Amino acid sequence: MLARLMKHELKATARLLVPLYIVLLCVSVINRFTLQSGMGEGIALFFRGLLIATQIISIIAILMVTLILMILRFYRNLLKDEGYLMFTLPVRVHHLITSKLVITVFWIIISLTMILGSLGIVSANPGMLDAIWRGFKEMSAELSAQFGGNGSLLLVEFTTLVFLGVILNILLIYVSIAVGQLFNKNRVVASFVSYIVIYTGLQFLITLVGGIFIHFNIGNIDLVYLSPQIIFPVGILFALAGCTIFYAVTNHILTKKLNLE
Amino acid sequence: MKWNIDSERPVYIQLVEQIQAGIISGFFKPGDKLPSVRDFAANAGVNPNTMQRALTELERNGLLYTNRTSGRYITSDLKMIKELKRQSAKDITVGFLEKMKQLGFKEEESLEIVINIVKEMKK
Amino acid sequence: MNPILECQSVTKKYTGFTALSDVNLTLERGRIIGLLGPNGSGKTTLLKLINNLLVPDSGKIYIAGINPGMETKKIISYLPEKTYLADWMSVEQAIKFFQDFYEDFDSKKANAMLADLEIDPKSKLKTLSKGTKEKVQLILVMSRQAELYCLDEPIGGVDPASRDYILNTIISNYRENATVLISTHLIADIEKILDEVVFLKQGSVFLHSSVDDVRIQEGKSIDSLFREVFKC
Repeated sequence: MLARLMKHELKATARLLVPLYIVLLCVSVINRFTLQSGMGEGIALFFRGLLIATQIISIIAILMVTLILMILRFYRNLLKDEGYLMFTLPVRVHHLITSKLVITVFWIIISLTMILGSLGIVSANPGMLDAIWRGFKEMSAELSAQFGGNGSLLLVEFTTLVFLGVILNILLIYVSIAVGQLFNKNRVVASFVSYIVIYTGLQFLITLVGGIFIHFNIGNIDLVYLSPQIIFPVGILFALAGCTIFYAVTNHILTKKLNLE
Repeated sequence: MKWNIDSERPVYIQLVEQIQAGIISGFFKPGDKLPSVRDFAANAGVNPNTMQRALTELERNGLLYTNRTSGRYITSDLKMIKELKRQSAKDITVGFLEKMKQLGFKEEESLEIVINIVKEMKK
Repeated sequence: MNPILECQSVTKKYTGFTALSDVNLTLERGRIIGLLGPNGSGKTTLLKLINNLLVPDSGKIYIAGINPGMETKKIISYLPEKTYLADWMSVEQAIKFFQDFYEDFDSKKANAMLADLEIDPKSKLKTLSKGTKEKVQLILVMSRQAELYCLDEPIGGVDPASRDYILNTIISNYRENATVLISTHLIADIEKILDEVVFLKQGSVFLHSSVDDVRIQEGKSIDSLFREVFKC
C-alpha cells in the first residue's frame, strides 16, 4: 500500500517538476556553448543575457516549486476535498504521511542534483572533477588529523545530521498543517501560527540545551575534538527525537482528530 | 412492460396487481419465463426485495411457479388465468357500479348507459 | 444475524452543538436504505463516522462487526457530496487509481458504464461539467463489490435521464450480502427503490422502518410523511 501511495504521489508531483528540470537542463546546455563562444554584440549579447536569466529563473523556480509542492501536496491532497478520497482508501494513516515524506525528500535530492548539474554543465572543464576529488581527500585528511582519526565518521555523522535536519523541517511543516486543522475557522492562519510557535520553540530548546552544555564545559576545549563522539551523536539523537515527536503528533491528529470540511 | 407505481400505497401490492393485469391481458403468456428478480425490479424501477415479495405472493396464489434450476414461470393453467380474468372483470364492474351509485344512478340505469355507449362505439 | 452496520449510543459534538446524540441504529445486509433528514440533522456526520473520517465522542460503531479502520475501508464504498478526485487526472487515470487501491474494483464494469453515459475516458476531469464529474464518481463507487455503499446525494446534480440510469444501476447492483445507504433530499425520486428509511431529526433517530410498513400504517408516501414530520 505504501508503495502504491508513493507511486501515486510521484505521478502527481512529477508532472510539475519534470518539465522544469527539462527546461533547466536544456538552457544549461545551450548556455554552455553560448558562454564559451565569448562576448558578442548587440542582439547576441541580448540573447545571451536572456538565456542566463532563464537559467537563473529556472533554478529559482525549481527551488520554489519543490518547497511549495511539499506544502500543497500535504494540505490540498489530505485536508481539502481530496482528503475524502485519501482517508477512505484502505491504507493506514501513517502510510499517507510517510509516502508524502519520502517523495518530498526524493524531489529535494533530485532538485538539488539538477541545480548542481546545471551549474556543472555550464562551468565544467576537464581538470575540474580531479580538483574536486583532490579537495575532498584533503579535507578528509585534515579532519582526520584534527579529530583523532575520526574524519570519515565525522563526515558520515554530518551527512546524517543534515539529512535528518531536512526531514525534521518537512515534518515541522506537516505537524503545523495538522495542528492548524484542529481549528474550525481560519485553518491556514492557524497553521502559519503553529509553524512559528513550534519553530520558535525548537530554536529556543536548541539554544537552551546548547547554552547549558557550553556553560558546564566552558573551560574544556578538548571537547571540541570529541565532536564526532559526543556533539554530533547528541545532535543526531535530538533530531531523531524531534522527527519522531512531530511524526507521532501528526499521525495522532490525522487519525483521532480529523475533521474535513 | 409499462409500470405505473405510485408511492402512496405499498409497492409490492401494486406490483402484484400489475403483473396480474399483465397475465390477464396476455402480455405475459402462459408458460412465459420471467426475468430474474433483479432485472425485473430494475425494469420496474423498484427495490429487488419488494419485487421478490410480490413474486412470492403471486407464487402463493398459484399464478407463478418456480423451477429451481431455471427460474420463474407464468402458470400454464389456463383455467386459473381465465378465473383471474373473470374475477378482475367482476371487481372492475362492482367498482363501476359503486361509483355510478355515488353519482345517483341505479343499477338498471347504469346498465342502459353502458349498452348505449357500446352501441355508439360500434358505429 | 450479521448486520452490516451497528451504531451503539453514538454521540458526536462539534464546538457549540451536538450533531448526533445517542444514536442507536442497526442496518441489515441486502437492503437499500434511505437516510433522510433536513440539513443539519446529522446525516453527513453519521456517514463520516461510518467511514472513519470522524471519531465518535462516545458510543461504538461496528461495520460487519469491526471498528472503523483500514479493514472496514476495504468493504465500504463511499460517495461523498464533494468532488474528491484530483482535477488533473483523466477519467482513465481515476479508474486506474481505484483499481490500484481496491481489490474489489471492476474496471470492465466501470468502462461499460462510462460508455453508456457517453463519457470519454481520456478526458481530463477538469474539463468535465460538475454533473459529469458526479457521474464519474458514482460510476467508480458503484463499480466496487463492496458490502456497504454509502451514497451522499447521488442524484442531486444530475439530469432526470441520468437519474433513472443511476437508480437503475443501484437496483441492478443489488446483492444479498450488500447494503446501500443513500442520504438524499430527493425523496420522491428515490422512495420506490428503498427497502427501509431512517429519519434523522436533530441528531437522533426519529424513525427506522420498512417503507411499505410506513405506507400501510400512515397511508401516505415517504415523501409526504417527511414533509409532515419536518414541517418548518
